[in-house]
Amino acid sequence: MKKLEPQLLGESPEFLAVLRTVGLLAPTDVTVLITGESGTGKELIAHHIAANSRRAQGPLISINCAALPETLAESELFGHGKGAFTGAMERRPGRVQSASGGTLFLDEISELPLSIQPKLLRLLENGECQVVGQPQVSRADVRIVAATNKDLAEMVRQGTFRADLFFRLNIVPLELPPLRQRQGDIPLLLEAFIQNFSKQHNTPSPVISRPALQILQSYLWPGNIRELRNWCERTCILHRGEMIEPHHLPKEILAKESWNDERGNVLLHLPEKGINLANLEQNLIQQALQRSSGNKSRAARLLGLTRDTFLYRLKKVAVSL
Amino acid sequence: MHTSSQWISFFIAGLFSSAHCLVMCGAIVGALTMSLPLSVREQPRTLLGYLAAYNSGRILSYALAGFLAGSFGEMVVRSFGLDHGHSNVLLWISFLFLVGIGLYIAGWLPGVALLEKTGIGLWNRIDPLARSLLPVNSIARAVVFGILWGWFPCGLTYTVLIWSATTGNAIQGAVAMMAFGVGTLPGIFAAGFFSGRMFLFRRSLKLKRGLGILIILSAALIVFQNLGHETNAHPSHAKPVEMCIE
Repeated sequence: MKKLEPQLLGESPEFLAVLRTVGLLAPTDVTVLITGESGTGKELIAHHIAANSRRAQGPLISINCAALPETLAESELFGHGKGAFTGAMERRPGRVQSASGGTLFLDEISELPLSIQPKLLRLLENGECQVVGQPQVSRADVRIVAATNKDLAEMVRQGTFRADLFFRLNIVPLELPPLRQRQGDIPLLLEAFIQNFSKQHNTPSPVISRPALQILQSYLWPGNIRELRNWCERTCILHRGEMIEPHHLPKEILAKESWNDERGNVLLHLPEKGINLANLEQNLIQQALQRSSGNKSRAARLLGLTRDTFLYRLKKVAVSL
Repeated sequence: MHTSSQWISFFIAGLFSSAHCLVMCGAIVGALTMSLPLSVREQPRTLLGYLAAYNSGRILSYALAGFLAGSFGEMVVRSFGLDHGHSNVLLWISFLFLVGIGLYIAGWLPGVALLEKTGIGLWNRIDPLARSLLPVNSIARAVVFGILWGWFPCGLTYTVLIWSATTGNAIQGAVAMMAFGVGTLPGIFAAGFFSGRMFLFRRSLKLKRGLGILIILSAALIVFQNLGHETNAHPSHAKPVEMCIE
């Protein structure tokens, strides 16, 4: 097995279970669907799978499906022949063909246009693909690894993602836990990132004080490991060799700790652009439910509400459990 | 406690842990199924043969682990002279383990997952061997892969293994772990056959809660049934309760 990136370090049971599963399925040629919030390390896992597969010597082609314009998506993926459409001056191989003998990583698969989804399904089922403007079907020897931060099952229910493609992708699902569910891993990740960036920038490593560490561990890290990594890089540059105390931490991290001051004054500042209060309420309710493992009484207490008020608001925002 | 009740308890623990098995091993089962040649996957009988081979190997490892745990339990029972009149103690230990497993499956006792750490060292040694067997292309290889897969770190399996030690007998420990493994089969087989569709259920909190509560209720039922049985068998309570190991 190749050495793990610092972003893939961790000791939480959920994360280790994913890594062990990755180790076992990497040598196979099966399609993998990696799910998880933004910044949880989906792309790194995809790279790790490719690097530990039998196709490690082959190409790894990454495509961000959200960046594919619908009109060009088919030609970009499967290629086009000369004269296939206006402007197709010469034959151009698609990304699928370019990944032949290797791995094709489809990031943000949820954004793949509906019209292309049956063609991807055909590739997954039979390894067949059709170059735009060419009548004959060609074959591609490629392993697909897809990733998304969306709930594809919900998208299938809403009719925005094909059910057959979802079921074909979801045979080997890997779900990366968000960082807020791996609080015990934060010290390990901090140490790895700080060491890494100090070495990279050739600066003495800052040291995190215990009170600062406690705050960092209780912060929810909505941007997950990516946010933690960026904070570490900033800290290594701005506070080289210093002891990091709570006052060194950015406002957004401290805000959670100081939601109310001693007099009960609210310290949450309304951003210039304003906020969507309904979305905020739904998000807070979801977080409270996640933190209380679905226990509504505990979730209500976390939000400073009575159980009845909480149930009323839960019904109002229609949070699915 | 009657041996049959004991095995039923272990079987129930496995059966109602399906949602957990889908989370922990679902991706592995999916990968094992999909890495088989298309000709195998298209023939339900042949596919069933492979799934049976993987799982026979897995259950064989469980039985071996149960044998070792039972031997340890036997040693403890003999050392402390506990081999007479402790059936109620075992009954209540089983009850507590089943309740603990129910709470874990329902998501109310997440600390059980920490037990997984105890098996990581062993798994790190097994993992390269397991990966070298992939892709599996024969039944014999599937059995060997299953044997190795049986040692995949899992908090639930370790809890059941500790519980199997309380049988106080190597053979019964092995049979108890086999019963647990057989209980997990419906969930694992369903993951192999229906793969992508099965994973829709694995995230359902209601399903996890329901299965966890079912395990707890089963534990209560087994206790009451056994206590009732023993009360009928010894109405005067004059004689000590018989040995649990039959």
